[in-house]
Amino acid sequence: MVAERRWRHVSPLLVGGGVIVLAMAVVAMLGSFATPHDPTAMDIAARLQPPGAAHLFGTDQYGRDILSRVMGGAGIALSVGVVAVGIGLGGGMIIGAVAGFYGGLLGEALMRLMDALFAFPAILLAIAVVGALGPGHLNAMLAIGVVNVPVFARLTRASVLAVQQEGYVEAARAVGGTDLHILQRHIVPNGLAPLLVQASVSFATAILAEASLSYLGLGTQPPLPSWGKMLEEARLFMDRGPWLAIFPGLAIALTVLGFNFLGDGLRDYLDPRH
Amino acid sequence: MNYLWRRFPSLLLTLFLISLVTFVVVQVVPGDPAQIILGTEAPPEALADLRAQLGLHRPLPLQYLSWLTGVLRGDLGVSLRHGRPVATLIAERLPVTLSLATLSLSLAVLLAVPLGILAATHQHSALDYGVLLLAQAGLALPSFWIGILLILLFALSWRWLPSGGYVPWGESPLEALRSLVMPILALGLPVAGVLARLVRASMLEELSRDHIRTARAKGLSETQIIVRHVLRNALIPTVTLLGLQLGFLLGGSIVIEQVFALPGVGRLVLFAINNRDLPLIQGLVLFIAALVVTINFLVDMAYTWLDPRISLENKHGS
Repeated sequence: MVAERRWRHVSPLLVGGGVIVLAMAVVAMLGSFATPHDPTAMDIAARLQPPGAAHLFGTDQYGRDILSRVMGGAGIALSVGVVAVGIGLGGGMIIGAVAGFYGGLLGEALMRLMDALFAFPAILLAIAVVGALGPGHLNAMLAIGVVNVPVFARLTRASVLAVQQEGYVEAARAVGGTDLHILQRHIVPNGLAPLLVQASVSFATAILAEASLSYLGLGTQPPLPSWGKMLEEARLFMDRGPWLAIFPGLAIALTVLGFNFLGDGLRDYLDPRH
Repeated sequence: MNYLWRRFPSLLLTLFLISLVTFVVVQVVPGDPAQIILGTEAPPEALADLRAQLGLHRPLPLQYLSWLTGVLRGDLGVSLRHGRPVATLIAERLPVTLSLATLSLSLAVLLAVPLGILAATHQHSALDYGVLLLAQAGLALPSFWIGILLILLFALSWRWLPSGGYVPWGESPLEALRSLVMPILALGLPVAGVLARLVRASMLEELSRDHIRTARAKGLSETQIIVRHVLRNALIPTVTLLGLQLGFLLGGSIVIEQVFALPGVGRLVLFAINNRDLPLIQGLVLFIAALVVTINFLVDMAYTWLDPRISLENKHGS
Protein backbone atom coordinates (compact mmCIF):
# COMPACT_ATOMS: atom_id res chain seq x y z
CA MET A 1 0.00 0.00 0.00
CA VAL A 2 2.72 2.41 1.01
CA ALA A 3 4.82 1.42 -1.96
CA GLU A 4 1.87 1.93 -4.27
CA ARG A 5 1.21 5.40 -2.90
CA ARG A 6 4.83 6.32 -3.28
CA TRP A 7 4.96 5.22 -6.90
CA ARG A 8 2.00 7.39 -7.75
CA HIS A 9 4.08 10.41 -6.81
CA VAL A 10 6.96 9.59 -9.11
CA SER A 11 6.09 12.67 -11.15
CA PRO A 12 7.13 13.42 -14.74
CA LEU A 13 9.43 16.06 -13.20
CA LEU A 14 11.30 13.45 -11.17
CA VAL A 15 11.63 11.10 -14.14
CA GLY A 16 12.54 13.89 -16.58
CA GLY A 17 15.09 15.39 -14.19
CA GLY A 18 16.54 11.97 -13.44
CA VAL A 19 16.91 11.15 -17.15
CA ILE A 20 18.62 14.48 -17.94
CA VAL A 21 21.00 14.16 -14.98
CA LEU A 22 21.82 10.55 -15.87
CA ALA A 23 22.39 11.49 -19.52
CA MET A 24 24.71 14.31 -18.44
CA ALA A 25 26.63 11.90 -16.21
CA VAL A 26 27.08 9.54 -19.18
CA VAL A 27 28.19 12.43 -21.42
CA ALA A 28 30.63 13.54 -18.70
CA MET A 29 32.12 10.05 -18.53
CA LEU A 30 32.36 9.77 -22.31
CA GLY A 31 33.78 13.29 -22.37
CA SER A 32 36.90 12.15 -20.57
CA PHE A 33 37.89 9.50 -23.13
CA ALA A 34 35.45 9.08 -26.02
CA THR A 35 34.97 12.52 -27.62
CA PRO A 36 34.81 12.67 -31.44
CA HIS A 37 37.94 14.88 -31.41
CA ASP A 38 40.54 15.87 -28.84
CA PRO A 39 38.82 18.77 -26.96
CA THR A 40 42.10 20.73 -26.73
CA ALA A 41 43.60 19.89 -30.15
CA MET A 42 43.89 23.00 -32.33
CA ASP A 43 43.47 22.94 -36.10
CA ILE A 44 43.91 26.46 -37.45
CA ALA A 45 42.94 25.36 -40.99
CA ALA A 46 39.52 24.36 -39.66
CA ARG A 47 38.88 27.45 -37.49
CA LEU A 48 35.35 28.87 -37.09
CA GLN A 49 33.71 26.11 -39.13
CA PRO A 50 29.90 26.18 -38.88
CA PRO A 51 28.11 23.07 -37.59
CA GLY A 52 28.32 20.29 -40.20
CA ALA A 53 29.09 16.62 -40.78
CA ALA A 54 32.75 16.83 -39.72
CA HIS A 55 32.02 18.93 -36.63
CA LEU A 56 28.41 18.58 -35.43
CA PHE A 57 28.59 21.74 -33.28
CA GLY A 58 31.20 23.50 -35.47
CA THR A 59 34.69 24.62 -34.43
CA ASP A 60 36.01 27.56 -32.40
CA GLN A 61 38.59 30.27 -33.16
CA TYR A 62 41.44 27.75 -32.80
CA GLY A 63 39.68 25.07 -34.87
CA ARG A 64 38.84 22.99 -31.77
CA ASP A 65 35.77 20.77 -32.04
CA ILE A 66 32.97 22.39 -30.01
CA LEU A 67 31.01 19.14 -29.48
CA SER A 68 34.10 17.54 -27.91
CA ARG A 69 34.66 20.62 -25.76
CA VAL A 70 31.04 20.70 -24.62
CA MET A 71 31.35 16.98 -23.72
CA GLY A 72 34.59 17.66 -21.85
CA GLY A 73 32.90 20.57 -20.08
CA ALA A 74 30.22 18.24 -18.71
CA GLY A 75 32.83 16.49 -16.56
CA ILE A 76 34.10 19.81 -15.24
CA ALA A 77 30.58 21.08 -14.48
CA LEU A 78 29.51 17.90 -12.71
CA SER A 79 32.76 17.64 -10.73
CA VAL A 80 32.21 21.20 -9.48
CA GLY A 81 28.67 20.26 -8.51
CA VAL A 82 29.77 17.14 -6.63
CA VAL A 83 32.61 18.81 -4.72
CA ALA A 84 30.77 22.07 -3.99
CA VAL A 85 27.62 20.33 -2.79
CA GLY A 86 29.79 17.87 -0.83
CA ILE A 87 31.53 20.74 0.98
CA GLY A 88 28.26 22.60 1.54
CA LEU A 89 26.43 19.51 2.74
CA GLY A 90 29.29 18.23 4.91
CA GLY A 91 30.10 21.59 6.50
CA GLY A 92 26.46 22.61 6.81
CA MET A 93 25.38 19.32 8.39
CA ILE A 94 28.12 19.44 11.01
CA ILE A 95 27.46 23.10 11.90
CA GLY A 96 23.67 22.73 11.76
CA ALA A 97 23.68 19.51 13.82
CA VAL A 98 25.91 21.03 16.50
CA ALA A 99 23.83 24.21 16.61
CA GLY A 100 20.54 22.34 16.73
CA PHE A 101 21.57 19.54 19.08
CA TYR A 102 23.46 21.56 21.65
CA GLY A 103 21.79 24.94 21.13
CA GLY A 104 22.82 27.50 23.72
CA LEU A 105 25.38 30.20 23.11
CA LEU A 106 27.47 28.05 20.76
CA GLY A 107 24.45 27.22 18.63
CA GLU A 108 23.35 30.84 18.56
CA ALA A 109 26.84 32.08 17.60
CA LEU A 110 27.16 29.49 14.83
CA MET A 111 23.79 30.37 13.34
CA ARG A 112 24.45 34.13 13.50
CA LEU A 113 27.68 33.48 11.60
CA MET A 114 25.71 31.48 9.03
CA ASP A 115 23.25 34.38 8.74
CA ALA A 116 26.14 36.73 8.07
CA LEU A 117 27.53 34.43 5.35
CA PHE A 118 24.03 34.09 3.92
CA ALA A 119 23.80 37.86 3.65
CA PHE A 120 26.50 38.02 0.98
CA PRO A 121 25.22 37.65 -2.57
CA ALA A 122 26.42 34.12 -3.45
CA ILE A 123 28.45 35.10 -6.47
CA LEU A 124 30.11 37.99 -4.59
CA LEU A 125 31.21 35.69 -1.77
CA ALA A 126 32.47 33.14 -4.29
CA ILE A 127 34.39 35.88 -6.14
CA ALA A 128 35.89 37.11 -2.86
CA VAL A 129 36.96 33.59 -1.84
CA VAL A 130 38.42 32.86 -5.28
CA GLY A 131 40.09 36.26 -5.12
CA ALA A 132 41.68 35.24 -1.83
CA LEU A 133 42.75 31.75 -2.94
CA GLY A 134 43.60 32.58 -6.55
CA PRO A 135 41.68 31.63 -9.70
CA GLY A 136 41.34 28.00 -10.75
CA HIS A 137 39.11 24.98 -11.00
CA LEU A 138 39.78 23.63 -7.48
CA ASN A 139 39.47 26.99 -5.77
CA ALA A 140 36.21 27.69 -7.61
CA MET A 141 34.81 24.39 -6.27
CA LEU A 142 35.93 25.31 -2.77
CA ALA A 143 34.49 28.83 -3.01
CA ILE A 144 31.11 27.60 -4.24
CA GLY A 145 31.15 24.95 -1.51
CA VAL A 146 31.71 27.59 1.19
CA VAL A 147 28.84 29.64 -0.22
CA ASN A 148 26.60 26.57 0.11
CA VAL A 149 27.36 25.87 3.78
CA PRO A 150 24.82 28.27 5.39
CA VAL A 151 21.72 26.94 3.60
CA PHE A 152 22.54 23.34 4.58
CA ALA A 153 23.36 24.42 8.13
CA ARG A 154 19.94 26.11 8.47
CA LEU A 155 18.09 23.10 7.07
CA THR A 156 20.00 20.64 9.26
CA ARG A 157 19.39 22.73 12.37
CA ALA A 158 15.67 22.98 11.62
CA SER A 159 15.46 19.20 11.05
CA VAL A 160 17.39 18.46 14.22
CA LEU A 161 15.13 20.74 16.26
CA ALA A 162 12.03 19.10 14.80
CA VAL A 163 13.21 15.50 15.17
CA GLN A 164 14.53 16.06 18.69
CA GLN A 165 10.96 16.50 19.93
CA GLU A 166 10.00 13.04 18.68
CA GLY A 167 9.32 10.25 21.14
CA TYR A 168 11.88 7.84 19.71
CA VAL A 169 14.70 10.33 20.35
CA GLU A 170 13.61 10.72 23.96
CA ALA A 171 13.41 6.94 24.20
CA ALA A 172 16.92 6.55 22.82
CA ARG A 173 18.15 9.09 25.34
CA ALA A 174 16.32 7.32 28.17
CA VAL A 175 18.02 4.02 27.41
CA GLY A 176 21.38 5.79 27.60
CA GLY A 177 22.19 6.46 23.92
CA THR A 178 25.21 8.74 23.45
CA ASP A 179 24.85 12.07 21.61
CA LEU A 180 26.78 10.77 18.61
CA HIS A 181 24.67 7.62 18.48
CA ILE A 182 21.40 9.59 18.63
CA LEU A 183 22.63 11.99 15.94
CA GLN A 184 23.83 9.19 13.66
CA ARG A 185 21.03 6.68 14.10
CA HIS A 186 17.96 8.84 14.65
CA ILE A 187 18.34 12.51 13.84
CA VAL A 188 20.34 12.49 10.61
CA PRO A 189 18.33 9.76 8.81
CA ASN A 190 15.01 11.40 9.70
CA GLY A 191 16.07 14.89 8.68
CA LEU A 192 17.57 13.79 5.37
CA ALA A 193 14.67 14.53 2.99
CA PRO A 194 14.92 18.34 2.85
CA LEU A 195 18.70 18.07 2.58
CA LEU A 196 18.38 15.78 -0.42
CA VAL A 197 16.05 18.22 -2.17
CA GLN A 198 18.35 21.14 -1.37
CA ALA A 199 21.38 19.16 -2.60
CA SER A 200 19.75 18.81 -6.01
CA VAL A 201 18.90 22.51 -6.20
CA SER A 202 22.38 23.49 -4.94
CA PHE A 203 23.91 21.26 -7.60
CA ALA A 204 22.15 23.37 -10.22
CA THR A 205 23.23 26.68 -8.68
CA ALA A 206 26.80 25.38 -8.30
CA ILE A 207 26.95 24.70 -12.03
CA LEU A 208 25.63 28.20 -12.75
CA ALA A 209 28.12 29.72 -10.30
CA GLU A 210 31.07 27.86 -11.82
CA ALA A 211 30.00 29.02 -15.29
CA SER A 212 29.83 32.62 -14.03
CA LEU A 213 33.22 32.42 -12.31
CA SER A 214 34.82 30.88 -15.38
CA TYR A 215 33.16 33.50 -17.59
CA LEU A 216 34.82 36.15 -15.39
CA GLY A 217 38.18 34.38 -15.75
CA LEU A 218 38.23 33.34 -12.08
CA GLY A 219 37.19 29.69 -12.42
CA THR A 220 38.47 26.89 -14.63
CA GLN A 221 41.49 28.05 -16.63
CA PRO A 222 42.24 27.34 -20.31
CA PRO A 223 42.81 25.04 -22.11
CA LEU A 224 40.36 23.02 -19.94
CA PRO A 225 36.94 23.24 -21.62
CA SER A 226 34.66 24.92 -19.05
CA TRP A 227 31.26 25.98 -20.42
CA GLY A 228 31.52 29.43 -18.85
CA LYS A 229 35.02 30.00 -20.24
CA MET A 230 33.85 28.86 -23.69
CA LEU A 231 31.12 31.51 -23.59
CA GLU A 232 33.64 34.16 -22.57
CA GLU A 233 35.90 33.23 -25.49
CA ALA A 234 32.86 33.18 -27.80
CA ARG A 235 32.13 36.84 -26.96
CA LEU A 236 34.96 38.01 -29.25
CA PHE A 237 34.17 35.76 -32.21
CA MET A 238 30.43 35.37 -32.16
CA ASP A 239 29.84 37.87 -34.97
CA ARG A 240 31.58 35.34 -37.23
CA GLY A 241 30.57 32.18 -35.38
CA PRO A 242 27.31 32.50 -33.44
CA TRP A 243 27.40 28.74 -32.75
CA LEU A 244 30.32 29.40 -30.40
CA ALA A 245 27.89 31.15 -28.06
CA ILE A 246 24.96 28.75 -28.49
CA PHE A 247 26.06 25.23 -27.57
CA PRO A 248 27.89 25.79 -24.26
CA GLY A 249 24.95 27.90 -23.05
CA LEU A 250 22.47 25.20 -24.05
CA ALA A 251 24.56 22.64 -22.18
CA ILE A 252 24.47 24.77 -19.00
CA ALA A 253 20.73 25.39 -19.31
CA LEU A 254 19.90 21.72 -19.91
CA THR A 255 22.00 20.49 -16.99
CA VAL A 256 20.62 23.10 -14.60
CA LEU A 257 17.09 22.32 -15.78
CA GLY A 258 17.72 18.61 -15.11
CA PHE A 259 18.84 19.21 -11.53
CA ASN A 260 16.00 21.67 -10.85
CA PHE A 261 13.45 19.15 -12.15
CA LEU A 262 15.05 16.46 -10.02
CA GLY A 263 14.87 18.73 -6.95
CA ASP A 264 11.20 19.65 -7.57
CA GLY A 265 10.33 16.01 -8.24
CA LEU A 266 12.12 14.84 -5.10
CA ARG A 267 10.34 17.50 -3.05
CA ASP A 268 6.93 16.19 -4.18
CA TYR A 269 8.00 12.57 -3.80
CA LEU A 270 9.40 12.97 -0.28
CA ASP A 271 6.70 15.33 0.96
CA PRO A 272 4.98 13.47 3.82
CA ARG A 273 1.72 15.31 3.11
CA HIS A 274 1.34 13.27 -0.09
CA MET B 1 7.31 50.15 15.66
CA ASN B 2 8.03 47.69 18.48
CA TYR B 3 8.85 45.07 15.92
CA LEU B 4 11.39 47.39 14.32
CA TRP B 5 13.16 47.97 17.62
CA ARG B 6 13.26 44.25 18.33
CA ARG B 7 14.83 43.52 14.97
CA PHE B 8 17.29 46.42 15.01
CA PRO B 9 19.93 44.85 17.32
CA SER B 10 19.95 41.72 15.16
CA LEU B 11 20.58 43.92 12.10
CA LEU B 12 23.53 45.53 13.88
CA LEU B 13 24.90 42.12 14.92
CA THR B 14 24.65 40.82 11.35
CA LEU B 15 26.39 43.93 10.01
CA PHE B 16 29.17 43.48 12.57
CA LEU B 17 29.62 39.83 11.60
CA ILE B 18 29.67 40.78 7.93
CA SER B 19 32.51 43.21 8.60
CA LEU B 20 34.36 40.45 10.45
CA VAL B 21 33.87 37.89 7.65
CA THR B 22 34.93 40.47 5.05
CA PHE B 23 38.08 41.35 6.99
CA VAL B 24 39.04 37.71 7.52
CA VAL B 25 38.48 36.72 3.88
CA VAL B 26 40.57 39.62 2.61
CA GLN B 27 43.38 38.86 5.09
CA VAL B 28 43.79 35.47 3.42
CA VAL B 29 44.57 37.17 0.09
CA PRO B 30 48.23 36.56 -0.64
CA GLY B 31 50.29 39.60 -1.52
CA ASP B 32 51.82 42.51 0.35
CA PRO B 33 49.92 45.80 -0.10
CA ALA B 34 53.17 47.76 0.20
CA GLN B 35 54.70 45.74 -2.62
CA ILE B 36 51.55 46.22 -4.72
CA ILE B 37 51.84 50.01 -4.35
CA LEU B 38 55.59 50.32 -4.86
CA GLY B 39 56.16 47.47 -7.32
CA THR B 40 58.51 44.48 -7.17
CA GLU B 41 61.64 46.63 -7.72
CA ALA B 42 61.12 48.69 -4.57
CA PRO B 43 63.99 48.81 -2.04
CA PRO B 44 63.33 46.95 1.25
CA GLU B 45 63.60 50.15 3.36
CA ALA B 46 60.89 51.88 1.34
CA LEU B 47 58.66 48.81 1.70
CA ALA B 48 59.21 48.72 5.46
CA ASP B 49 58.42 52.45 5.72
CA LEU B 50 55.22 52.10 3.78
CA ARG B 51 54.17 49.03 5.77
CA ALA B 52 54.61 51.03 8.97
CA GLN B 53 52.70 53.94 7.43
CA LEU B 54 49.81 51.62 6.43
CA GLY B 55 49.82 50.09 9.89
CA LEU B 56 50.52 46.58 8.58
CA HIS B 57 52.99 45.82 11.37
CA ARG B 58 50.22 45.97 13.97
CA PRO B 59 48.44 42.83 15.19
CA LEU B 60 45.38 41.82 13.13
CA PRO B 61 42.73 42.61 15.80
CA LEU B 62 44.10 46.17 16.02
CA GLN B 63 44.09 46.49 12.22
CA TYR B 64 40.49 45.29 12.19
CA LEU B 65 39.47 47.77 14.89
CA SER B 66 41.03 50.73 13.12
CA TRP B 67 39.43 49.67 9.82
CA LEU B 68 36.06 49.30 11.56
CA THR B 69 36.23 52.72 13.22
CA GLY B 70 37.10 54.17 9.81
CA VAL B 71 34.12 52.39 8.25
CA LEU B 72 31.80 53.77 10.93
CA ARG B 73 32.96 57.27 9.99
CA GLY B 74 32.32 56.49 6.30
CA ASP B 75 36.01 56.00 5.51
CA LEU B 76 36.50 52.71 3.63
CA GLY B 77 40.22 53.26 3.07
CA VAL B 78 42.19 54.21 -0.04
CA SER B 79 42.46 52.08 -3.18
CA LEU B 80 46.02 50.84 -3.76
CA ARG B 81 45.73 51.05 -7.55
CA HIS B 82 43.60 54.15 -8.01
CA GLY B 83 45.15 56.06 -5.10
CA ARG B 84 41.68 57.48 -4.29
CA PRO B 85 39.22 56.84 -1.46
CA VAL B 86 37.29 53.58 -1.89
CA ALA B 87 34.05 55.34 -0.90
CA THR B 88 34.48 57.88 -3.72
CA LEU B 89 35.18 55.13 -6.26
CA ILE B 90 32.03 53.28 -5.19
CA ALA B 91 29.93 56.47 -5.23
CA GLU B 92 31.05 57.20 -8.81
CA ARG B 93 29.99 53.79 -10.06
CA LEU B 94 26.92 53.26 -7.93
CA PRO B 95 24.42 55.04 -10.26
CA VAL B 96 25.15 52.53 -13.05
CA THR B 97 24.66 49.48 -10.82
CA LEU B 98 21.64 50.89 -9.01
CA SER B 99 19.99 51.83 -12.32
CA LEU B 100 20.64 48.33 -13.59
CA ALA B 101 19.42 46.58 -10.43
CA THR B 102 16.31 48.68 -9.79
CA LEU B 103 15.20 48.73 -13.43
CA SER B 104 15.73 44.96 -13.70
CA LEU B 105 13.72 44.42 -10.54
CA SER B 106 10.96 46.75 -11.80
CA LEU B 107 10.82 44.87 -15.10
CA ALA B 108 10.64 41.58 -13.20
CA VAL B 109 7.77 42.79 -10.98
CA LEU B 110 5.86 44.36 -13.87
CA LEU B 111 6.07 41.06 -15.77
CA ALA B 112 5.76 38.61 -12.89
CA VAL B 113 2.78 39.95 -10.92
CA PRO B 114 0.28 40.09 -13.83
CA LEU B 115 1.61 36.83 -15.29
CA GLY B 116 1.45 35.08 -11.92
CA ILE B 117 -2.10 36.32 -11.30
CA LEU B 118 -3.26 35.30 -14.78
CA ALA B 119 -1.64 31.88 -14.44
CA ALA B 120 -3.34 31.30 -11.08
CA THR B 121 -6.77 32.47 -12.24
CA HIS B 122 -6.45 30.35 -15.39
CA GLN B 123 -4.90 27.26 -13.78
CA HIS B 124 -4.08 24.38 -16.19
CA SER B 125 -4.56 26.62 -19.23
CA ALA B 126 -1.97 27.12 -21.98
CA LEU B 127 -1.12 30.47 -20.39
CA ASP B 128 -0.52 28.78 -17.04
CA TYR B 129 1.86 26.24 -18.56
CA GLY B 130 3.57 29.02 -20.50
CA VAL B 131 4.25 30.92 -17.26
CA LEU B 132 5.59 27.76 -15.58
CA LEU B 133 7.84 27.12 -18.57
CA LEU B 134 9.12 30.71 -18.42
CA ALA B 135 9.81 30.25 -14.72
CA GLN B 136 11.85 27.08 -15.29
CA ALA B 137 13.75 28.78 -18.12
CA GLY B 138 14.43 31.73 -15.83
CA LEU B 139 15.94 29.41 -13.24
CA ALA B 140 18.04 27.47 -15.73
CA LEU B 141 19.38 30.07 -18.17
CA PRO B 142 22.47 31.87 -16.89
CA SER B 143 21.82 35.62 -17.10
CA PHE B 144 25.13 36.23 -18.83
CA TRP B 145 24.14 33.76 -21.54
CA ILE B 146 20.83 35.57 -22.03
CA GLY B 147 22.94 38.73 -22.35
CA ILE B 148 25.17 37.12 -24.98
CA LEU B 149 22.14 35.91 -26.96
CA LEU B 150 20.58 39.39 -26.79
CA ILE B 151 23.82 40.91 -28.13
CA LEU B 152 23.84 38.31 -30.90
CA LEU B 153 20.29 39.24 -31.86
CA PHE B 154 19.83 42.95 -31.19
CA ALA B 155 23.36 44.27 -31.62
CA LEU B 156 25.12 41.99 -34.11
CA SER B 157 22.26 40.74 -36.32
CA TRP B 158 19.72 43.57 -36.30
CA ARG B 159 21.98 46.41 -35.12
CA TRP B 160 19.19 48.02 -33.08
CA LEU B 161 21.12 48.48 -29.85
CA PRO B 162 24.75 49.06 -28.86
CA SER B 163 26.50 45.82 -27.86
CA GLY B 164 28.07 47.42 -24.79
CA GLY B 165 29.18 50.63 -23.08
CA TYR B 166 27.23 53.15 -21.02
CA VAL B 167 25.92 56.66 -21.53
CA PRO B 168 25.20 58.54 -18.27
CA TRP B 169 21.57 59.57 -17.67
CA GLY B 170 22.62 63.22 -17.40
CA GLU B 171 24.14 63.18 -20.88
CA SER B 172 21.25 61.64 -22.77
CA PRO B 173 18.42 59.78 -21.03
CA LEU B 174 17.43 58.05 -24.28
CA GLU B 175 20.94 56.79 -24.99
CA ALA B 176 21.31 55.75 -21.34
CA LEU B 177 18.17 53.67 -21.63
CA ARG B 178 19.33 52.21 -24.95
CA SER B 179 22.63 51.17 -23.38
CA LEU B 180 20.77 49.54 -20.48
CA VAL B 181 17.92 47.77 -22.32
CA MET B 182 19.77 44.50 -22.92
CA PRO B 183 21.46 44.34 -19.50
CA ILE B 184 18.08 44.97 -17.84
CA LEU B 185 16.45 42.19 -19.87
CA ALA B 186 19.32 39.77 -19.18
CA LEU B 187 19.19 40.40 -15.45
CA GLY B 188 15.44 40.92 -15.06
CA LEU B 189 13.99 38.04 -17.09
CA PRO B 190 15.30 35.21 -14.86
CA VAL B 191 14.02 37.07 -11.78
CA ALA B 192 10.64 37.56 -13.49
CA GLY B 193 10.40 33.79 -13.98
CA VAL B 194 11.14 33.02 -10.35
CA LEU B 195 8.74 35.72 -9.10
CA ALA B 196 5.90 34.71 -11.44
CA ARG B 197 6.09 31.15 -10.13
CA LEU B 198 5.86 32.38 -6.56
CA VAL B 199 3.01 34.83 -7.24
CA ARG B 200 1.12 31.99 -8.95
CA ALA B 201 1.69 29.57 -6.06
CA SER B 202 0.70 32.04 -3.33
CA MET B 203 -2.35 33.16 -5.32
CA LEU B 204 -3.49 29.53 -5.66
CA GLU B 205 -3.03 28.98 -1.95
CA GLU B 206 -5.02 32.11 -1.07
CA LEU B 207 -7.77 31.29 -3.58
CA SER B 208 -8.37 27.95 -1.87
CA ARG B 209 -9.04 29.51 1.55
CA ASP B 210 -12.40 29.54 3.31
CA HIS B 211 -12.90 33.29 3.37
CA ILE B 212 -12.63 33.34 -0.41
CA ARG B 213 -15.42 30.78 -0.63
CA THR B 214 -17.47 33.02 1.65
CA ALA B 215 -16.74 36.03 -0.55
CA ARG B 216 -17.87 34.07 -3.61
CA ALA B 217 -21.01 32.96 -1.79
CA LYS B 218 -21.74 36.59 -0.96
CA GLY B 219 -21.77 37.21 -4.69
CA LEU B 220 -18.58 39.25 -5.07
CA SER B 221 -17.13 39.31 -8.58
CA GLU B 222 -13.85 37.48 -9.26
CA THR B 223 -12.08 40.81 -9.80
CA GLN B 224 -13.32 42.13 -6.45
CA ILE B 225 -12.22 38.91 -4.75
CA ILE B 226 -8.76 39.04 -6.29
CA VAL B 227 -8.21 42.72 -5.56
CA ARG B 228 -9.76 42.88 -2.08
CA HIS B 229 -9.04 39.50 -0.57
CA VAL B 230 -6.37 37.58 -2.42
CA LEU B 231 -3.75 39.94 -3.71
CA ARG B 232 -2.64 41.51 -0.48
CA ASN B 233 -2.06 38.20 1.29
CA ALA B 234 -0.53 36.62 -1.78
CA LEU B 235 1.97 39.46 -2.07
CA ILE B 236 3.61 38.83 1.33
CA PRO B 237 5.84 35.94 0.23
CA THR B 238 6.53 37.83 -3.00
CA VAL B 239 7.87 40.81 -1.06
CA THR B 240 10.18 38.52 0.94
CA LEU B 241 11.53 37.07 -2.26
CA LEU B 242 11.97 40.56 -3.73
CA GLY B 243 14.39 41.41 -0.94
CA LEU B 244 16.33 38.21 -1.51
CA GLN B 245 16.31 38.74 -5.26
CA LEU B 246 17.86 42.19 -4.87
CA GLY B 247 20.94 40.45 -3.46
CA PHE B 248 20.89 38.13 -6.45
CA LEU B 249 20.56 41.14 -8.76
CA LEU B 250 23.51 42.96 -7.19
CA GLY B 251 25.59 39.77 -7.47
CA GLY B 252 24.36 39.12 -11.00
CA SER B 253 25.21 42.65 -12.04
CA ILE B 254 28.90 41.83 -11.49
CA VAL B 255 28.72 39.37 -14.39
CA ILE B 256 26.28 41.40 -16.50
CA GLU B 257 28.39 44.57 -16.20
CA GLN B 258 31.29 42.53 -17.54
CA VAL B 259 29.23 41.18 -20.48
CA PHE B 260 28.05 44.67 -21.49
CA ALA B 261 31.18 46.63 -20.45
CA LEU B 262 29.17 48.78 -18.01
CA PRO B 263 31.32 50.90 -15.65
CA GLY B 264 29.47 49.91 -12.46
CA VAL B 265 30.32 48.60 -9.01
CA GLY B 266 30.48 45.01 -10.32
CA ARG B 267 33.31 45.80 -12.73
CA LEU B 268 35.08 47.60 -9.90
CA VAL B 269 34.89 44.34 -7.90
CA LEU B 270 36.56 42.45 -10.75
CA PHE B 271 39.19 45.17 -11.15
CA ALA B 272 39.94 44.98 -7.42
CA ILE B 273 40.19 41.16 -7.47
CA ASN B 274 42.34 41.02 -10.60
CA ASN B 275 44.70 43.70 -9.26
CA ARG B 276 44.80 42.44 -5.67
CA ASP B 277 43.66 45.86 -4.48
CA LEU B 278 42.94 44.75 -0.90
CA PRO B 279 41.32 47.90 0.57
CA LEU B 280 39.13 48.17 -2.50
CA ILE B 281 38.04 44.48 -2.28
CA GLN B 282 37.37 44.87 1.43
CA GLY B 283 35.37 48.08 1.00
CA LEU B 284 33.33 46.76 -1.92
CA VAL B 285 32.44 43.41 -0.37
CA LEU B 286 31.43 45.11 2.88
CA PHE B 287 29.43 47.77 1.07
CA ILE B 288 27.47 45.33 -1.10
CA ALA B 289 26.74 42.88 1.73
CA ALA B 290 25.68 45.72 4.06
CA LEU B 291 23.43 47.12 1.34
CA VAL B 292 21.75 43.71 0.87
CA VAL B 293 21.24 43.22 4.62
CA THR B 294 19.83 46.70 5.06
CA ILE B 295 17.43 46.26 2.14
CA ASN B 296 16.24 42.94 3.55
CA PHE B 297 15.69 44.63 6.90
CA LEU B 298 13.55 47.27 5.18
CA VAL B 299 11.66 44.51 3.38
CA ASP B 300 10.95 42.91 6.75
CA MET B 301 9.58 46.25 7.88
CA ALA B 302 7.33 46.34 4.83
CA TYR B 303 5.61 43.20 6.13
CA THR B 304 4.16 45.02 9.08
CA TRP B 305 2.39 47.26 6.61
CA LEU B 306 1.29 44.38 4.39
CA ASP B 307 0.33 42.03 7.20
CA PRO B 308 -0.68 43.69 10.47
CA ARG B 309 -0.69 40.25 12.15
CA ILE B 310 3.10 40.29 12.21
CA SER B 311 3.98 42.11 15.38
CA LEU B 312 6.34 41.83 18.29
CA GLU B 313 4.07 39.42 20.16
CA ASN B 314 3.42 37.09 17.27
CA LYS B 315 7.04 36.99 16.25
CA HIS B 316 8.13 36.04 19.72
CA GLY B 317 9.28 32.46 20.01
CA SER B 318 9.10 31.75 16.28
